[in-house]
Amino acid sequence: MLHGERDGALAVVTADGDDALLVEQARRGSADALAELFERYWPVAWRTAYALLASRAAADDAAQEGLQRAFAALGRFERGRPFEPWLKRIVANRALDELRREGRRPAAEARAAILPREPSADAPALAAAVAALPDEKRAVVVLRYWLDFSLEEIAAELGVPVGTASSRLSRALEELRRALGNSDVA
Amino acid sequence: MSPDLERRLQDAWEALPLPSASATSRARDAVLGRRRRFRRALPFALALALASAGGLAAGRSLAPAAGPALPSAAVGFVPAAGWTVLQTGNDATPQHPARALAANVPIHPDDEPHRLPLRTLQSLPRDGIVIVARFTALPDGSPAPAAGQLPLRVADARPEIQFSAEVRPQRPLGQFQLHRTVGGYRVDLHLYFGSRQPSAGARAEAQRQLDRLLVAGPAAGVRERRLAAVAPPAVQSAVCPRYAPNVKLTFGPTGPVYPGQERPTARSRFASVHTDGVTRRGGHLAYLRATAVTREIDAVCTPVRLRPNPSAARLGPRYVHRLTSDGVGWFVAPDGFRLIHPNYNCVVGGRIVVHSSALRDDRRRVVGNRFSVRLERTNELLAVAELRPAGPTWFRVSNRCTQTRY
Repeated sequence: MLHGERDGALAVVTADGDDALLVEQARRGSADALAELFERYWPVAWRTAYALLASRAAADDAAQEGLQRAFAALGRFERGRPFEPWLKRIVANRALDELRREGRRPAAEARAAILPREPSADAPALAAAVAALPDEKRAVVVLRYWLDFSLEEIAAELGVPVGTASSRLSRALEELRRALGNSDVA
Repeated sequence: MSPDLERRLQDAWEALPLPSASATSRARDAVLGRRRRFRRALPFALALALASAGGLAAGRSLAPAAGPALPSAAVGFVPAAGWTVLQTGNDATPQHPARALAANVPIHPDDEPHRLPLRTLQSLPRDGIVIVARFTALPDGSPAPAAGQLPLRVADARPEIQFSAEVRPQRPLGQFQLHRTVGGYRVDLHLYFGSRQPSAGARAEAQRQLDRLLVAGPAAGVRERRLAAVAPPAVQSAVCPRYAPNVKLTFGPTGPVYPGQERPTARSRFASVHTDGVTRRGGHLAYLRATAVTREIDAVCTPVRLRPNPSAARLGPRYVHRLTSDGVGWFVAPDGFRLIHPNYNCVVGGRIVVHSSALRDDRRRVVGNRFSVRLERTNELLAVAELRPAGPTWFRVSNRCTQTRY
C-alpha cells in the first residue's frame, strides 16, 4: 500500500531505530520517552479512531484508551517491528469495540467535521464520503486502505467470512463512486 | 476497483481532521498521567514579569552541580538566502537526537523537523532540494559510521530507496543518504532532489547548503564562530500568520486550568495575556501569575537582533538568529515543581519549534537553561520546565524561533 510504503519510509528516516529506541526507553520507565511517543503518535491514533468512528467525541475516547492500552502493553511489543502499525491496530481494535457496542453514526457530524485542509484537493470530499458510509462499510474501507489490513485480516477482525468482507468492500466502493459521481472516480 | 480510486482513498487519509487541542491535552494528562506532573506538593510562589514586548519562557535546567551548563553543541544548518531551515533545537543526546530540515522550497506547515517532511517532498518541484539531518551524540564505544569532516560532500552520498519504497513513486525523487561521524556526533543525512537524476547545478546547490551544516560542540568552537560570522545577523522578512490566542496554564494532577484573558494594550501591534491562578493541593497553596505578550494577528514579524547582555552573551553566536523576546523575572521554586506555561512567538506556518534559552543568575553562579517547545495550531501549551531548587533568582530569557525564511 502506498501508505504503508510512506509510513515505512518515514519510520526509517525518523530514525534508523529511533522509535525502537524510544520504545525501549519507555519500557525501562523513561517518562520522557513515553511523552515523546505520545507526541509523535497521538495524532495517528486519533485519526485511526476517527476514521472508524466518524465522530470526534468518540474518537477522543477511543484514541485515548487505545493509546493507554498500547503504552501498557509496551512490554509485549515485539522488538524490531515498526511501532506505528502496531499502535494503529490496537487503536482500531478499541474503535471497533466501540462500533460494535453502539451501532450508530450520525453521518452529518462526520461530514461537517471534515474540513478541507487543501481547498484544491478532492481528498477531503473522499474522506467525507468514507465517513458518511454506514458503519460496517466504512470499517472495511478504513481497515483496507488506511490501516493496510488484508481481506483475511479484516474478516477475522470483524468476525465475518472473507467473502463477506470482500463483498462489503465492493459495495462500499460502489457507494463511494456513487457518492462522488461516476465521472469523478472512473 | 479502479487504481485511481484506490490511490485517492489512500491519499484521503491526509484529509482526515486532527485532534483538537483540548482532546490532546486531556489525552496527554490521561495517558502520561503523573509522569508529566510535579511529584511533590510543596508550597511555591512564582511571579514572572516581562520587561519587554516579548514572550515568556522558563527553562528546564541542564545545569550540573558546578559551573554553567551551556548547550552541549550547536548542530543544524546555518540559514541562507533562499533556504528554509527548521530544526528541533534540542541537544543531540543519544536518547533524543537533534534534527534539522533544510529546503530550498517552503517547508509545508504540516511537516516537522523530527519527521520525514512528507508533505514538502510530495510537492517538491524538479529543482527542489530537501536535506534531512539527524545528529546523535555518540557515547564512548558505541558503533559509529565512518569519520567525516565538514563540510560533508554530496558526492559521497549514496542513492537509497529505503525499504524498496520511494517517497513519491509517481514522480520519483532523487534519494540519497550519507552517514558520518563528526566531532563525536553521528550525522545522518538524507538528501532529496526533485528529480531522480539531479542536475549538476542541483547537486552544487545542495553542496552549498551542506557547507553550512553545523556540528559544533563546545570544543569545536572555531568552526561555530566562523559559521556564525558569515551567517546573516537578522531575518530580512518573515510573516507571522494568524495567531489565535489560546492560553492555558495547567499544573498539578488536580489543579485547575486557567484560560487566558486577552487584553489589548495600548500598543497597536501586540496584545497582552494575563493569567492568574490559585490552587490547593495537598494542603499547600500554589500561586501562579504569568504575563505574556503576543503578536498581533497577521502581523509581520519584524527583524530583531539578539540583544547583547552579559549573561546571554555566554551562549555564544547561534545559527538561530531571530530573537523574538526577552524578559526578566524571578522565581522561588521547590524541588520537583514543574511549570507548564504557554509560549508563542514567531508563529510561522502554524507549527513551529521554538528554542528558548535562559540564563539564571542566582548570585552565586550563572546557570544555563535550554528547552524546546512545539507550538501546535491552537498555540496551546507548550513547554514543561523542570525547575530545580533555587532561591530568589533572576531570570534572563530569550526566545528564538528556529524557522526562518528570507
